Amino acid sequence: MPTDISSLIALWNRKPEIKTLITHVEQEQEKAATYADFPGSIAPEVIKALAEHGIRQLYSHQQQAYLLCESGNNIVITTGNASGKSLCYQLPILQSLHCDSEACYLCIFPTKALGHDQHKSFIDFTRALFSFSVTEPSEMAAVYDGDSAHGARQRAKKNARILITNPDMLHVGILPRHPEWARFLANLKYIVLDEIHLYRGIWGSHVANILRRLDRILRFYGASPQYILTTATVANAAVHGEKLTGQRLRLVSDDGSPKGRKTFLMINSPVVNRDLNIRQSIAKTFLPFAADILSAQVQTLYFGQTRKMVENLGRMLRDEYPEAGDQIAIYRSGYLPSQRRTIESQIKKYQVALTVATNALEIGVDIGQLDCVCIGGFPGTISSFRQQGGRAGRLQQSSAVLFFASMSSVDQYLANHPEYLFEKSPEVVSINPDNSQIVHQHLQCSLFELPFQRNESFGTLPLDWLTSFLQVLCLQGKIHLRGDTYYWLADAYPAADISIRSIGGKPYRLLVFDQEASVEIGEVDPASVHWYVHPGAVYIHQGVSYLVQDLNFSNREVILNQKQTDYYTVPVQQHEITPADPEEEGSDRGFNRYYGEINVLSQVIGYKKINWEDPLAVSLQTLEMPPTNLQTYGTWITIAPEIVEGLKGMGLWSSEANSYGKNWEQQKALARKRDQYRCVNCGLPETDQAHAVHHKIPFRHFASYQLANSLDNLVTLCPACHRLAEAHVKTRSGIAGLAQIASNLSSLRLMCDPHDMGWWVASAAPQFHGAAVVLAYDLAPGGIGLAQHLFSQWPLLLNECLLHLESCPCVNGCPSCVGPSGPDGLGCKSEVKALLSLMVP
Amino acid sequence: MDDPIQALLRALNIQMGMKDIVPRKNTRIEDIVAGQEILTEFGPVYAIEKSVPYDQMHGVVKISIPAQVEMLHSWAGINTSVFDLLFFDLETTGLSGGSGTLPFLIGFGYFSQTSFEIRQLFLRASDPEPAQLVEFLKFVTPRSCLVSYNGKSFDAPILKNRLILNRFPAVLDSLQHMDLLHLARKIWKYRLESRGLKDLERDILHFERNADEIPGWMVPEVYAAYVRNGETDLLSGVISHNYLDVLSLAGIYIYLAKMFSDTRGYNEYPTEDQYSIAKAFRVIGQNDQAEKLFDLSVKSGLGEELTADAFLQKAAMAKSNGDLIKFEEYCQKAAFRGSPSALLQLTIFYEHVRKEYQLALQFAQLLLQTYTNRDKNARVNKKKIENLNRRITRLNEKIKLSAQSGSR
Repeated sequence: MPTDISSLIALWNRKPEIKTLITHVEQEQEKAATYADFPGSIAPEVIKALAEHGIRQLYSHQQQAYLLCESGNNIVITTGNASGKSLCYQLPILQSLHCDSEACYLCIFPTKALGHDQHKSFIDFTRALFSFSVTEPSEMAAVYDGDSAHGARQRAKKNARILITNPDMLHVGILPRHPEWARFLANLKYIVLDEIHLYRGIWGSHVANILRRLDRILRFYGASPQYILTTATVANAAVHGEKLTGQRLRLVSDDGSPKGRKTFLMINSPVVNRDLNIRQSIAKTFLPFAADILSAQVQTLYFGQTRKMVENLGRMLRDEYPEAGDQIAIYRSGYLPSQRRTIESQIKKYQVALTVATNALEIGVDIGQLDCVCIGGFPGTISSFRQQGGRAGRLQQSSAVLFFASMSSVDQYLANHPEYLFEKSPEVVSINPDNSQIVHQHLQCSLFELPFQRNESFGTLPLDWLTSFLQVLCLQGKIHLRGDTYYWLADAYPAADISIRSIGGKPYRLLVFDQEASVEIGEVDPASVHWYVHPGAVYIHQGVSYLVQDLNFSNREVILNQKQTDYYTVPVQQHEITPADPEEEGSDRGFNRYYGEINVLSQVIGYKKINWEDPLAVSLQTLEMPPTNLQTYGTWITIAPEIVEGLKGMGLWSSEANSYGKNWEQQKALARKRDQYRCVNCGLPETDQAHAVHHKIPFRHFASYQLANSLDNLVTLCPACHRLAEAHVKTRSGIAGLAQIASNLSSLRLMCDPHDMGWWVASAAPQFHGAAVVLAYDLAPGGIGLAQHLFSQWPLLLNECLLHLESCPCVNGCPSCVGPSGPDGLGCKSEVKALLSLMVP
Repeated sequence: MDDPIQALLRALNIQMGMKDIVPRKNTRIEDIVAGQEILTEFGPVYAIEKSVPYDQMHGVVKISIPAQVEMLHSWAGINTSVFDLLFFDLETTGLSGGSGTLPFLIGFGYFSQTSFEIRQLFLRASDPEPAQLVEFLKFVTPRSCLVSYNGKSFDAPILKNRLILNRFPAVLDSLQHMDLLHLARKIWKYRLESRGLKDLERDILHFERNADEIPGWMVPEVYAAYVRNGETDLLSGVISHNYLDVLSLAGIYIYLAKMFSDTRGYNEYPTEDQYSIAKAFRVIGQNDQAEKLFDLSVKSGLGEELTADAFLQKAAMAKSNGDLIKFEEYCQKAAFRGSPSALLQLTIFYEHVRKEYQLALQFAQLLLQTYTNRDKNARVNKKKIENLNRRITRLNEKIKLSAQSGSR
């Protein structure tokens, strides 16, 4: 018999070994609903249709939304999870359907799944409103997405009043063929955009441009619909919505819905090595909780941060509790849709007690509400954290959210400052609709869709920019000017060539060969293939490990072999930065800061095999993968030469290229001879060029060059293996440690996902005139404004880094600050501290 | 700060050098193709007009008003006279469709009292698009039926888009449309491997285009080069290509009309064509004609499979006349040639009409063999085999029952 969550929390409080792990408890008290009457203008038939589905009164925010809509406003609704946001757009649509026989409504959802759920509601409501019989096919509300059959598409064009779609379909299917939708578009009354906080970064910037295109087309048909937007709680809901749609918006934020009692538990893993400040892994810490959850049958969802972590934890749980194997589900993107639907319905029907998932389950998938949510590591943003936590809480029953803090500096920061999670206003969603790559692409689509008048505007894009873009397109021969009108000229369907979800188009298919037939087990987005499924990588799927046999770029296929390995793999990547002239500059105490365009050339040069049982047993493999190029914006600081000199003098600057001492050439020759002129790692013999000789323990770790250059410490390596070895042992220099801590803390300060920016350091980079550089860049091609934001934040960020470092209890550096010290005990904490104290006033 | 265009090109990672800038030529279309500028209320457009006098040959076809079109029109499902037909073909800036595809050349033709008239409306680099459309509509409005080759899926939707984009009324929606591709597929699917307009031209009309013919896939690039830098070298090729397309449309139409009303009889036609026309006659209810042509085609050596089909068709006609003896005979002839459909019909016929279960069972087993010789795993076949096995079980039971009642 399932226990309820309160007794489970009580049980944890009685177990001392668990109670000590709970470092903070936060109670969210229940809250009664604030109801409001149906406005008098709503037709009794609509009220009756709602009543048939159990809606007999409105929450105050639903009434407010309706009234604002009725008086012609565009609105954005930002109330809590499960607060009945959908009714805020369903109500105006139903009322309009009832009293207008022509009007149409476009509902845009970020995912197909979310759209399908809403389709069901609309079918139910319209049936009730128009007394359609259950057998009568309702064509009033139609879904138009990648899965729609041809016949259904044709019917939707002809008959649909409510069209449910997603930005992808709008982009590639509807807008470029808008004349086929002329009836629908000319009669458009409302545009609904659900969950707009998901339209962030590059994806959001694409969506904003798709809406600019839609807006032009609507103007052509003489339609000026109202916008109804919803979002999870973010700090800039209205501003973000306005950037996205280019419309003035009114904000609805006073939440009238009731809340059940919710308990937050902050759980910090025990420290297992005090010197190195190393904590037990959160997976291990979670195990005793999982045992209680499984035996109490409290339905729980565990959010892991990466696909790999989720697979590993699922594997661990099934090994640990084999008898509860069928009570545990694993869920992440990359599984086939059918497999995902099965798991979703198992969760909804209470057939599994514990689901381990990535953020693929954070939103949009209808799995109902759960009793308990565990968040294994900070998901990157406060709104994501709240969204995940919001999965807990059935009706007005009690629920719990458990946060398991990992060793990362952000998690440890949060463990020490839990108020940050509960009090701090949620973050700002940032998009850059004027990103030049994105505008360039969508302007082409827009010109394809409608000839462009010379004096026309494109959303809020500054007019002089627009002129430049049009001139560039003319230069490229893609458009031409006919009289006062630009016409599309190229033989192309531009929307088909633009991928708005990920960079680089169609995903790669994962194929497993089973005797002769191949089975597709999932897919990988093209931006990840190089490092995620390179040849030799171990790929884990539903807890089963596969070895990547081949990665075929032309067929977009990854060939896998099922194979149990005793190791997992981690790719080794190299990045090369080329800056253009900086666009902005500033100088502060001890450093200069810059912002400008950069080019990043990345290459996976090999990978590490790490033993499951013994993470220190590592072997290295070289790999030849094609490099990838990224044109983006970066911000960087160069450290004043006198600071570097000063630190060198104190022995606190270890980034210097080494001079290897007097006997180096001689020892090098001896080592090559000893190794028979072959690479020790891969066996490749020397040809016309001598192989490199590598220090096993880095040169700088020795007191004298004689010791460092002793033959025992030298190995002969071919160029490829040498590059790999160098990348692997990369000495933790002061600036590398600084980049580590700064990258972690900046994601809180910039309120962005940590994976949105890349970091790079060099001690004497020729492309930066030999200066010591710490550089951060937007991972989205063309930039989405993060580097630009960071440019002005450097002094504050460095200050925060120093404060965090000073309060960290470790000795030589740990994963929670500048990164762990090596096995030889050498860390860079003191170097980073010295460096920062010279840079922070 | 440097030139904003240069900065933007760099930001977009677009490499452009001197080699990309092609010097502009200043040849004009007027110097290449004889035509005239027509000034509409929206501005000028360039028109090329040609008359094809009746009795001029196009391959083996004589261009003239067909004597008899009712049968063809009835089969094609249109209801109109020859003078209401507008043959048309577009040359476009793109081949993938969508609202950005512009028909820079609209070619069309119609029967007049004395000649077949062909007009082409060419959109020069600075001509306003509505001028071209309004001029075209002048010829569309008095007529009631479009004739095209694959126009239902390509040309007509593009024209509809352009009319909407230029705010013209949706006149095309009320027109009939005879797509000769659909008709050609039905008539020549047994004889010709491909049935593009060029294939029919070669294999049916026996007309060869000359070597400087511009292939269709090159057309968008030729126009783009003309607009970008005044390059007109290949443009006349495109215009004559379009002219011949329209003329061949008329040629195929005339050929088909004659095929449906050939007073000389059908002995001269290839066997497969005799069979196709017979089928078409059946569709429009000309059963006597159809019957004769089916017989003719079988006699002149139709292949095994089509012969079986011909007998099936005859069986179906006999059945609808209530002649079960003939039905049985033709079905058997088809079954003898291995037609699964005939085997099935006979099985049903013997089970339910004649109630000769043994005979029904024999045919059912023959059919089962035919099915199992095919791909057993194909889903459709699997389903059929399941149904047939059920039938066989039932027949065996009926045989057992009748044997019992017989012995009693």
